Amino acid sequence: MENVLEFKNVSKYYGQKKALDDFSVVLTPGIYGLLGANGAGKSTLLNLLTDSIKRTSGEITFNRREILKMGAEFREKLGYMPQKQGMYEHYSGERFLYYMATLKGVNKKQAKLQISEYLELVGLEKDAHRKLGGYSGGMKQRLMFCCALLGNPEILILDEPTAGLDPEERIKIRNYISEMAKDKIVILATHVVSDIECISSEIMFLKEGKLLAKDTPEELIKYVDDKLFSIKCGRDELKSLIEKYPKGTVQQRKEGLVYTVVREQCPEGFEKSSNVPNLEDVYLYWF
Amino acid sequence: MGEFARVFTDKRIIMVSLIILVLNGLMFFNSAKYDTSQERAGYLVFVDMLEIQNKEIQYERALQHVNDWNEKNAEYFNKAIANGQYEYNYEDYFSENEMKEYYANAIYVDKYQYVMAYGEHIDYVIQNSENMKKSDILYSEGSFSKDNIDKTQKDFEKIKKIKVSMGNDRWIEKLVNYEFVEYLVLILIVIAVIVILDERKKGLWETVYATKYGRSILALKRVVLLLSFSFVGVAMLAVENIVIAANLSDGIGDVFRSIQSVSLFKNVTLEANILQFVVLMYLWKVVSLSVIGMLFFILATSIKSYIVPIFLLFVTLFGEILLYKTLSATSVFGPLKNINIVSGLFSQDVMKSYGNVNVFGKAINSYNCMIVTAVVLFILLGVLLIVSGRRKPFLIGESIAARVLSRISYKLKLYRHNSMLIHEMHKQLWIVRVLIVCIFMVLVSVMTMNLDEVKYGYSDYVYNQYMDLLEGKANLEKKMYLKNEVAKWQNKYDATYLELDNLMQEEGSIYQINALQKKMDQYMLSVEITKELEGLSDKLAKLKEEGYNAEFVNEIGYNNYLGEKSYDINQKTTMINMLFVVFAVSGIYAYENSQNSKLLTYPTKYGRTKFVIVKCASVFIITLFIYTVSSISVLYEINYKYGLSGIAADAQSLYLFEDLNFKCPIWVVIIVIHVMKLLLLYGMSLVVMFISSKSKNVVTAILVSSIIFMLPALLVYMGYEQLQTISVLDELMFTEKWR
Repeated sequence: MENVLEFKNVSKYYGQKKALDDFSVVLTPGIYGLLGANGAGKSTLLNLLTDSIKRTSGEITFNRREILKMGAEFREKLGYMPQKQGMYEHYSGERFLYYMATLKGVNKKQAKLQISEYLELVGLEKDAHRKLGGYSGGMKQRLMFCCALLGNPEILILDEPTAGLDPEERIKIRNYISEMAKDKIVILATHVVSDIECISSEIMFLKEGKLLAKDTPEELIKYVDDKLFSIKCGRDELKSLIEKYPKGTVQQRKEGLVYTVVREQCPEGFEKSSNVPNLEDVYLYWF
Repeated sequence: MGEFARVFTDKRIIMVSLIILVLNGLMFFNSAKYDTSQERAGYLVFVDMLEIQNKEIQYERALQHVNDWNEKNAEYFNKAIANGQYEYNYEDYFSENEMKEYYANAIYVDKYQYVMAYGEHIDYVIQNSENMKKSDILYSEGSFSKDNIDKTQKDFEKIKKIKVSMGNDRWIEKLVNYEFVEYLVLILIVIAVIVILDERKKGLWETVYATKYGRSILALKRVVLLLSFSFVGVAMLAVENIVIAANLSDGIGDVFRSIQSVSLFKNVTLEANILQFVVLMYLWKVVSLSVIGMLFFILATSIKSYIVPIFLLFVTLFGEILLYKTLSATSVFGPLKNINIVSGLFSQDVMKSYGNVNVFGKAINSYNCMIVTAVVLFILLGVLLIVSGRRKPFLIGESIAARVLSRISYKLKLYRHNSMLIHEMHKQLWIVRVLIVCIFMVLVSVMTMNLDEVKYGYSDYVYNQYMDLLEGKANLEKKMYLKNEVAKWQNKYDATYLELDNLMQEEGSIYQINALQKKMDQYMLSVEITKELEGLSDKLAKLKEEGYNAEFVNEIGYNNYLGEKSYDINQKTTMINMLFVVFAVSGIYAYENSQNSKLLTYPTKYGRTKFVIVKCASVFIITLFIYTVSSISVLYEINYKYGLSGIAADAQSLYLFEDLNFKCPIWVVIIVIHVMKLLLLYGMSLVVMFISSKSKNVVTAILVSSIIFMLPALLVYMGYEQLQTISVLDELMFTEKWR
């Protein structure tokens, strides 16, 4: 039977502030990109899923069972990679993974197999004995990814997994996620649109705690297909254009600067853009 | 200034300073407090008596008072013996006020007599030197002995005209006789050097080295910094001790009197007043401590890790302290005692007595020897440190030892297990450094052990002699033996009584009468003790009939271990346990909090309930260790001093446990008491753990826990007994409530 993770009218209020408002969604195995500006409610949603904070109302079920009632049974199925690198700097990479495997309830034999497999997967096998304090940001991110994978979880929550990585490392992590995502529900929260565009089966847009859209990248892109307009401009004009139409992108072309905006109506002086729309345009359109 | 601020505001320095302050306060208070409240009240009256102008008349009055008291005491004593009392305690016969007055007058008499006899004492020393000059062996030409005699005579002649006067001396006597500051400041200076050298660990050495003032100038600043830090460290503890001592002694009196006014310093040849003496005593500690700091600094910047320099420093200091404590100044190896890196640290030893060191046959005053050594070492090591500041930074990274350990750990894969408890214990002991707290606990327990030989009174002495013979099961033979012993002592008493009667009729000398009276007192005490033991024999026989494993067991050790006499040691040990629990457990959650790891661990399968259970278990192990170490040290101390024999006998064999209404051996009762005390301490540990879980860092947790537990306990310990309701000290002592 296919795993189903369902959010039913989930809300979280901090006093009067709505961090998440009546959020409902059904997730089956696949990679779900979670996009939103800072404070959109992404972290709140992930924290509710990991039961790190209490929800104000609503239900979250896994295979029709409330996750709060499942408790440790649910957390056993969970792999979480938080945004902050909360690791023990004095531990070696391998010792830290064994520690996490113990906390996740992975038996010794499985832990040994998985740790050696994942260390090799993320290219850290030669650095496994080194102290985490000496790891670079990218190495730590890769190790955190290993931690999330330990115990072969059915739900993988990745919060900004590529933050602070160089392009090569970012691509590597993206590829690992694609590789590991088989039969898993992967929720990938990020600001980096290109990460999601490449690997997500569906994308969820969150704004001020509300779900604005949930669809495949292709469908979302289709939505802005006829909404791109551009204008050639000089450097002097650019500043006033950005002030007037802030949701746009500047491109340096041979013929000069081109400013492209995403809007319902074509602004005066602009013409239909020849650019192929992408997810970044969708992001600009929604936010 | 930046370097100073960095060191003085470092969390580790603040934390260690706090521990040391609390520990020192505790130890010093314990060593300086009075045995009884009457004694304290008496001393305070004595301080008031010092205000009286006409000292001679006051002395006559005080002497009369003391003589009257002694007569009364003898009278009460004889009555008590005649009434068949086994133990005579004069405090039971005199009112609190009488005792207070007696103590005050006795101190006054003692001080007055010292002041009056001081001149004679100096004359005696000088005369003694003159007498020694007549000996060909002692006064042979070119010998150290001759030089020593001449120098002693010269030095004492110099202070012949010094005027001594009565005053409040108790505070300085306690200050000088307390020997713990020296060890505590050593810990502080080692931590300070580690903090100064933090830049190496953080990869800043090369950067600092490349700056304009990053070499010799910086090294020079560090010499000043080490000196300043030594000053602050020593001053901090000195002020604490002076405040405590002054508080206990009703102030510090006139500090401008000559130091020789204090009887403890009657052989000091230094021309200084009390204030100057105290300042000098601490000054040499500061210089000596900074010398040790510089030595460690040089070692630590020459070797990659801290472990090797700390080990080398430890070995050096251990060797030097051993030489200092064991060598005689006048022996051939005498120079090694005073020309020693630690002699300045123990400045009070050198300063409170007079002595000359044999330096190549020449007699050099040990105080001068100490000064020269401290100053020369300070200059030498200071120059060496400044020169070494020019040395290029070596490759920064893990030391060879650390790398080897890391490799061994990786090869052996000791962490390849799925025991949360072992992971947690490794984290706490190794990463959070609770291991250091544990090692410190062992050191403190050893250092605070008092293994001085017990001076038994006559009754305890006789009791011990009999118990050595009687120990074991009670039987008819022992009963008969005791009966005979009672008769034997009674006969001796009667015979002496007759002898005394005759002597008094013949008008014998007062010395003969006193000697016979003393003999009679002792015989009477022996009668009482043997009677008591005979009674005990009957009691044990009865218990045996009731099925108890009753034996003759020497009660003195058990009374000092668990009885009323154990109060002081129990209170001190409980305070130490509390202190170390606060420091060892406050960091239990702090590491997780500081590393933000909760985000990662909380959503895991065992990241909640089991995680907390494992934390509780590790806290129990740490608490158990702390409790065990302190208990073993107390057990060792009591067993060493008094002995704890007959532990397999049933508890009812001891008067201490005679009300126990179930049958069990003494050792079981001891274990039960310890288990209860451990559980109570564990309860406190859990509260500290809770505080830790709610604190963002370890310093906050320590502060909050200290305010909740240590502060009320300290105040109760210092005599503010009205605070007992908010202090857990008495509860944790357990036996006080249980009795």
